[in-house]
Amino acid sequence: MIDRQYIWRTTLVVVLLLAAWSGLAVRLGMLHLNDNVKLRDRIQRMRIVKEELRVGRGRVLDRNENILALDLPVKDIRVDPVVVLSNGQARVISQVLARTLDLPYKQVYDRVNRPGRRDEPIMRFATEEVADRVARLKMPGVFFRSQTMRFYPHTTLACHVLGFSNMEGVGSAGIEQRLDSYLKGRSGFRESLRDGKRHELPDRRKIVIAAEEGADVHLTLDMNVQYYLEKALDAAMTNFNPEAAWAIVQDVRTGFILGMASRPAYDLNIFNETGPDIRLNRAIGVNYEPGSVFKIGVVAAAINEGLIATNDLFDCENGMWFYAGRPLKDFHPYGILDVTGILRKSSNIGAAKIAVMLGPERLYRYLKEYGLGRTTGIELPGEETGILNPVGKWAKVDITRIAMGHTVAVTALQMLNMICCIGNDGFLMKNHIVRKVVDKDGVVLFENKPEAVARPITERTAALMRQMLMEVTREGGTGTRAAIPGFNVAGKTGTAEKIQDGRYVHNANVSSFMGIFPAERPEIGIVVVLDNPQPLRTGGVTAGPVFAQIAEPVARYLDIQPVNATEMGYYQRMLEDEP
Amino acid sequence: MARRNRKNEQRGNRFAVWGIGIITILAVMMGLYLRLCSTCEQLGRKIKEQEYLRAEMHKQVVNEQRNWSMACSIINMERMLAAQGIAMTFPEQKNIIRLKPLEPADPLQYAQRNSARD
Repeated sequence: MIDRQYIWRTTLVVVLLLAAWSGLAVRLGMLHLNDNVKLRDRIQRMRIVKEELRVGRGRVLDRNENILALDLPVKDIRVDPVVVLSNGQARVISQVLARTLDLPYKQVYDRVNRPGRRDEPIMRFATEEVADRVARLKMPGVFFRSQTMRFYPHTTLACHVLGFSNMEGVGSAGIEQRLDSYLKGRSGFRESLRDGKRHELPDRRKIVIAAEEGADVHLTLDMNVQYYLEKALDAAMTNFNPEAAWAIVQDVRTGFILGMASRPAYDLNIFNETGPDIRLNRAIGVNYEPGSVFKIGVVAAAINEGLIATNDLFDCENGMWFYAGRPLKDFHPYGILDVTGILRKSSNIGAAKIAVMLGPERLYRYLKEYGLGRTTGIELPGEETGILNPVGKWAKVDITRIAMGHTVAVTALQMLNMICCIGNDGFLMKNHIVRKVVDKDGVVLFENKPEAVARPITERTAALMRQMLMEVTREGGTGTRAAIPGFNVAGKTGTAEKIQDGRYVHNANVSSFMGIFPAERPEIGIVVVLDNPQPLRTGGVTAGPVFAQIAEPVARYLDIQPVNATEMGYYQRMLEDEP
Repeated sequence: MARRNRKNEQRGNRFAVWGIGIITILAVMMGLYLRLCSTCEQLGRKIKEQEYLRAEMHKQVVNEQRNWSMACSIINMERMLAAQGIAMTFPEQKNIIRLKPLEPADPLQYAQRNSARD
């Protein structure tokens, strides 16, 4: 009986085992012998891992290799509410996260307490240190997602020049926008297989396209010059209450921009909290009527043409002169002034008479040669061309208005180029704010070299102009507050009336000062523009001191030496020589 | 007694030699294949490790760069100086002593100096 039962059970087990093995064998045979395309594809799909290899943007550096913008590895701190809620830890985890991340408890709890959700962000762009602090707490349901964030260590410094890249990593303003193609690099691609634990099998990589990291952009800006510039503009915003202010510092000999700033400014790390008006780079993106600073272009043209000499006398009509049936007034009435006096006192009538002597065609030709009415081509987006109508569109009276910087519109950079041209022996230099672009292997992709684009005036005219413009910052001139100890400054003040509702308004002005120093051998050119300063309004008392506040520390920082007696003698002899 | 068929005997040996040869070659090839597989796997692991290490190093470098640029930031420096109640200004020109190199810096000048000595 026992034996029969044993045999029966044994037989059953053997039959079952055989059946199971046969089933497996059949299945194995089917898997191997049949086509099984769908199944194979499904497995293949599960095993294949396709990955985009992302790279960070390149850095932006100043001319001394100080980092102005870089990509920072950060982590998003996220929670899986399903896990947290199933553990019944929503309140505890919310409290710990809120305390660790310094966030309001309610905000965190609202995120954690979302049944059915698998991925809720708690903090975006947390630094590695913060993420590590949270990771050490080992909270179930809290996880991290690595990514990069554009970071600007100096927050507002050079904000209008640098611009920003948006949340998608696309350059959207300033250098970040203009040089986006260099900065962004190129993402790579990898296709390989993964094992059962979902780990990539590096020896099974099928396609690997290496990522190309973004190139570094080296600017001509100097972080310290930029700082002095912005500090002075901040003080100007407090002292003179303008609606806006902007200034540029340029290397006279090369045309390279050492500093460029606008006010109001914004923090680049929170760019999305500011409006487009604040983001506007006014130094190149605002056209304005320059006012009396424009006179230097007219006088230089007339001297260059040999129409006038520095000591020629002009009757300034005691402050009122009619031309083409329209009156022209001076701010203060003057009688007879020589050309130097016209610049020193900023006589509108004197400048207008010189412009009339020059004639519209010649004046227009010179203005074009100074680079007016077209962009300078600086590597920044949003540059305005200014407004310089062709001679055919000029009314008869316009020549007298253009002489005093009205009926034309310029950008601050164009005006700075005009005075730098005088400082650079008549050579107009091409502006650059990008010195070079270098890829990650150290290969220089491009480098900007100083380049002269025109020579509107001769060396002698330039020297004469510098000598006359020195008088502006000396006793009796309109720009005495722009003087800096130890240096001669050649400059010009400007106070243009603003147009509101189609009419010039007397008590709203654009005040400016532009100058070069040392006047005998200029190295640095600076332009300062204040939009509607109040209650002081003239360029000499508002923009002039700002110029000095920038120029003095810049001269010390760049170690610019005043001209010594030997050099002075050389320049004096050059002026005394007949052309 | 029948004579030994030497011809058949030789043929049998030849098959055995060939068989052993083929099996040996196959075994060697399999061994090589396994060896290559394991080498590839090891290399893959190393590549992965190096990639991870590189990413970590890059993170560290970038974080240090950030810290350094923050430390160098003139705004932060001024803030720190102000917090310590320190006011710094440029020295007066008369207080600056400018040092000039005694030796000529240009190699060409060295050459000229040496030739003059000769």
